[in-house]
Amino acid sequence: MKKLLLSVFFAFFLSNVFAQNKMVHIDYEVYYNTEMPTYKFFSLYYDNAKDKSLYIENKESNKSNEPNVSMESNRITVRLQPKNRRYIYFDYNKDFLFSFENVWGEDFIIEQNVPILKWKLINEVKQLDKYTLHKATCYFRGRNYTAWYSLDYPWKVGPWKFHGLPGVIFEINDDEKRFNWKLKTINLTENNEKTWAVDLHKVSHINLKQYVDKQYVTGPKNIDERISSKLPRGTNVSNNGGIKVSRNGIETKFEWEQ
Amino acid sequence: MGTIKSVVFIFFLLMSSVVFGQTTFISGSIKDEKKNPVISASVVLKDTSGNVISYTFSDEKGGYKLQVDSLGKYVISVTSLGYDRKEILINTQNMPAPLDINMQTNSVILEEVKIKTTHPIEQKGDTIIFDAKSFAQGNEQVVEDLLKKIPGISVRADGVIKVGNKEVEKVMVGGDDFFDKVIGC
Repeated sequence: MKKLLLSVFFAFFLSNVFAQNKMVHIDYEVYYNTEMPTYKFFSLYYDNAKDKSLYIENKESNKSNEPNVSMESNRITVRLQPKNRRYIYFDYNKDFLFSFENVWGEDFIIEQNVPILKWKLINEVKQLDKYTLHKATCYFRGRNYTAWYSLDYPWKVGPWKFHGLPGVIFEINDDEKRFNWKLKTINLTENNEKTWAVDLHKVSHINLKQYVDKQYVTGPKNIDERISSKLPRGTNVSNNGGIKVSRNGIETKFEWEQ
Repeated sequence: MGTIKSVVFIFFLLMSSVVFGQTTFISGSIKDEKKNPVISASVVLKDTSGNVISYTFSDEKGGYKLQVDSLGKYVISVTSLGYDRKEILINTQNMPAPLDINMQTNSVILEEVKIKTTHPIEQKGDTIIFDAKSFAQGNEQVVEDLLKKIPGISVRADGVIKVGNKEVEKVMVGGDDFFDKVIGC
């Protein structure tokens, strides 16, 4: 009897240990076919039991110690890259999404609820190596996307903010093929607490509306003012109401602008 | 009298929605051999030819609920890491409710995925190779349309192809000289 209890205990213990110590690790390659074509590499970690995920830029993607905004006597440099690694953190149970972004040289965490992606399942499959992929499409914040997912890897995750399909997204791109994500590897890895230790308190938190305002309205205005302040006294600048930032990022239209 | 009439009317209204709407829900819970709930399992409803109709993920109690808009035969496929996939053929007009599903644990934990990715742009010596497929949007009529979509390439009205500011002497398509080919036709 004692033996049985003991073995049941161990079986229970083992299954628990397994569940807590493993998580899904997916590597994605991103190709930005933009004005400055670049490749980026991201890792996606998914904790199935806690239903949370972290999508984070790989270290080698980004190495620089230069300041984000430097003002020398006759030039202003704004780095478009944040010094810290960008990440997107999903907690599906608590319904929040934190994304770490650099806005005009300053780091912010943008808080929002988990966005609902209205996927349209298309009756179309394709083979990629030995994997059978199913097609789905959706519209999200200004762009139309086509995704290919696998039912053999039954997690709802995908690169960037994409999620909610019945399997892992292997490929996704927008209709103009400006932004292209491709899965490279899937494996299981130790669920190390360190992975999740992204500091959520170091920088200020703003909401999505505040972010859009900083990125497209107040940010460019500040740069304008800094340029004006650097010019000799008495100089008049006519530049038609300041720098205009065109919306050519991944997100071009937000929910309240539809 | 008026109330009876409206009651009868509402009754028929409800009846008709049941008959014509044909919307049903399939629900139940997913458990393993030890009757523990299987959480976050993917539950996919397919038609008999394998097309995905709808899907959901089981909750923290192993529960799931799927909506079906037309009655008939379907396949429910349940997948979760560490379990064998379970596929059940159901007929929505004659099925147990709740529809509970038992999963078998599986020692095969995960088959690792490795995909060789091809890059749309590669440089070999003085040659830059573009993988045309990666740039095609599907609405190209002629090669010119495709060339215009490759970053840095412009096509002038008189047909001169430029990369940046430099005129291009040779464009190779699939290893053949593109200009020769055009003249040859």
